[in-house]
Amino acid sequence: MNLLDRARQALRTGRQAVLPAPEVRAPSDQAAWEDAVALWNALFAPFSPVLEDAQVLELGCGDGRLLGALMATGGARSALGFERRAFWDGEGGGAAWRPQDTAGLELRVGLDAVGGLDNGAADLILARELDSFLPLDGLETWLTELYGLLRPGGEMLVRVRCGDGRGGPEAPGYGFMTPTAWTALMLGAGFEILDRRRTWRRPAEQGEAAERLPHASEDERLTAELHLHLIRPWESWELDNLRAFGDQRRAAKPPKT
Amino acid sequence: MSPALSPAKQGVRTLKSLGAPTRAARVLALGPDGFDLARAALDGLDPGALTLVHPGPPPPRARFDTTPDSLGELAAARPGGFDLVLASGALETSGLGRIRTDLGHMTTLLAPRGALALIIDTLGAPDAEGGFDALLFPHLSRQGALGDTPRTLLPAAAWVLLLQSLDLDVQAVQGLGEQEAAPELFDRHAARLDLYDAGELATGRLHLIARKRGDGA
Repeated sequence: MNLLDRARQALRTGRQAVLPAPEVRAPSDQAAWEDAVALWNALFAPFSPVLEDAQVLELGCGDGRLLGALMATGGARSALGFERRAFWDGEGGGAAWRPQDTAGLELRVGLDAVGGLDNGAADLILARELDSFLPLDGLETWLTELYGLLRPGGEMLVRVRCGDGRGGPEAPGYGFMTPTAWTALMLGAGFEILDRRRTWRRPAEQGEAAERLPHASEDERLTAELHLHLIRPWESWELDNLRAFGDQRRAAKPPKT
Repeated sequence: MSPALSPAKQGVRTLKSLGAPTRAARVLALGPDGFDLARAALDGLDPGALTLVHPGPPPPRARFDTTPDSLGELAAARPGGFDLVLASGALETSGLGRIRTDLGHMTTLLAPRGALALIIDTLGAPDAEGGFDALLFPHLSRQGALGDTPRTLLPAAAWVLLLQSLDLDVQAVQGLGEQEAAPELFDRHAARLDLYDAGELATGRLHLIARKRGDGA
């Protein structure tokens, strides 16, 4: 070993003694984190939601890594995720991790806890597959709840699947929801639709879709998924309150001398 | 000049022209028109026996029975007990979950190859006053400022898919794209209307015949 190699070895040994060892992720864990980032880039990033200092809520958060990444590098203030099973604990065969080690991140199991949140608790709501998370029974009520959870001006980014006439509990879009049906449902809950994107059915599925809905437009029968950018608008009474608050502040200011 | 037909009679006549079976042995009818619908079905479809879902007794000399049971109770008691189920305006005033449940009960009530005849106001149909407030001002509607939301706003294509998802074959439909758009809709609300499919906005009241899948005659 020459002098240079000895110096390198001494440096390496010294660094290991002083600095903590870098985190080495298991390949499955690393892949899961990369999947979370890819999901964000594919589903939500194209709508450019405001993340800085946002309180984020995700319905159907999977293993929670997407929220973990938003807390670690996205600038979110807090993140709260709901899922039917604790995938972050390894349930369902995923790679387990420790969300409790990420400050501001909380993951909960079950749907009931969503209804217990205070109004105005979120700036941004995410749902990667809303129709598989929320049941059809009471869907309108759930959407009204979500509207209430958002602060005025808050955003909701959701992916919803469209039905193909097949039944069963796992049927996409409950088996029958079309793009226009989703649109009416979201507007009916009070949201405004800022933007929307479609994913088309695969070519192999398009023939059957045309048979099932021969009279419908191509947009209606060939849309497999809708990605919606929804806004919870300021309501008139909230604007009135703001105006009154501004008037009070102006009245309380001492007159300029 | 012949007197104008009642809405119930018009509806039944349209359903008959679409292939609703006449002289079916056992018919179940339901809808807010109640007795009018039952009388129209008796006159137009000449069923062997007709039962109307209604909380009160039938009027004197009526040629039909009534049952106060809910669809769920009926489906549990008489699965496959009817050859034709006729529903007019009976579904769309419920929420989405209830609509699917009620349609499921109707399917259960039908004998194999039995027919379901529906009259439905879709997303594009005006409300009772001829307006489109629930469609155009959903926010006010949601807050109750327009009164109760008149109905669930499901477009025609979603109704058809819903029936298919419940193992019903849709055989005939009337009303698709037949409604002329009111010009004031586009003058005042073009930005929001653009979110809806133009064909769906042009579909108001839908008349529809579907058959339950099965081997029976």
